[in-house]
Amino acid sequence: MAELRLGYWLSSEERTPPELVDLAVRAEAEGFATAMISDHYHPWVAEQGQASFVWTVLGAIARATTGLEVGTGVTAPILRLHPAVVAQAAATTATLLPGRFFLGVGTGERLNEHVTGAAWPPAAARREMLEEAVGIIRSLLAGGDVNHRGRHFTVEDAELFTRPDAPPPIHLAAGGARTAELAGRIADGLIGVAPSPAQVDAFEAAGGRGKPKLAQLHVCCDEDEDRARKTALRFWPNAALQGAALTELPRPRDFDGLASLVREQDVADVVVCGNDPERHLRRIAEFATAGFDTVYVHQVGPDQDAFFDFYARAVVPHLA
Amino acid sequence: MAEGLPGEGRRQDEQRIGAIADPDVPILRAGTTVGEAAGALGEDDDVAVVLDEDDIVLGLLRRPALGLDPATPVEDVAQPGPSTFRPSLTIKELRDYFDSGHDERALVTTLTGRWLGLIRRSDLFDG
Repeated sequence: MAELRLGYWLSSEERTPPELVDLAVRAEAEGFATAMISDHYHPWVAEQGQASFVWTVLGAIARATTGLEVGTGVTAPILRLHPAVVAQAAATTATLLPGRFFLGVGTGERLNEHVTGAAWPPAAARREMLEEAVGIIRSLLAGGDVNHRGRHFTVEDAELFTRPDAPPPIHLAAGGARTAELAGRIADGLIGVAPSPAQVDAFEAAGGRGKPKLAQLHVCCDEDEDRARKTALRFWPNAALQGAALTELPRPRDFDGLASLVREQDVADVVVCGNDPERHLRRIAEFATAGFDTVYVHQVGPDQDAFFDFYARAVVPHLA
Repeated sequence: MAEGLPGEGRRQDEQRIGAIADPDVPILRAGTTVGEAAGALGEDDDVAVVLDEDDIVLGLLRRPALGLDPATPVEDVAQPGPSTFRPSLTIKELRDYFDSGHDERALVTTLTGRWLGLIRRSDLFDG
């Protein structure tokens, strides 16, 4: 069973595609074994500035790295992209990243999924859609001709001709116990955003015992803590938002409006700001204590050197 | 039935869970460091129970915590206050709890928190 690993978060909302590729190469060179890349159509707020098509970027990362595991964090295969299309994207990517790609999936946000004009379903319906979508993706990855007439999706005579030797693992993102339970039932791993033992327990109780449990941690490393807090507020105010706002607002400018109400302290409560190693280690420990075995660290803001330098010097040496 | 004493008879709904709680899981004493704890967990063990000198349950250490600073005391990185169950609970009642999907394991303790053993979901549903 896995112990603790640190991973690197590739933030598609903040970085251009060439930067993402360069950062994946840098992460690998710095000793990170795994990275996760966000799959967005829009950034959360306009200041973040980017939102590239993740599958193209993954192709470039595949050819620029040699051993780094990379996964999507996360793809919502329910509206913007039909699960049959996501299956093809995942299969192609897995052939470019043999044995080092995982497909992270989730129920998505309206911010990214509304663009094709489809009605935005409530959470329970999205969970149901995701379960059906994962079944379709697995069927296609297994090979052969797939026909499916389900409650939400239809697949007609579809077959993936480009497939990896082994299908990539599918990890499912959960924000609560019900989705964690779904992850335990149908996924190969759990992706969490909070150090919640209850979520891990629900995942394990539903069949996830012994499977990977991945988590995301936001940080803003900077020797000047005051500047770090300002950077975090500027580029990642969405960290302080909770509940339905995250899944129901359709446009970055809607998040901009809400973010104008967020205070610096609200973001600093969620994003570890500054270069105090103890605070970083404590937050990582919270995830390990809850049972997460891989913590993907997202450095908010443009200064990624500050993260790599600080973690190599002051954080990683304190982990076993 | 006295707390913690094994009962007789085969495993059935009205049997008390104190009779089937498994005490043979990795135990770590408060003050043990993460580095020292690494050897206590076997390859298939995903958790260890952290106890004080009076066998009172302090927390549940999950395997990923073994990747933290080896000098850290285990009680600092164990999940505090895990749900515990009294040995007088029946197997049916615990099975119903597991059915609710909240947990994969149950720690069985006396009312005062003294460690008795662990029951996994699979102990009640397999076979």
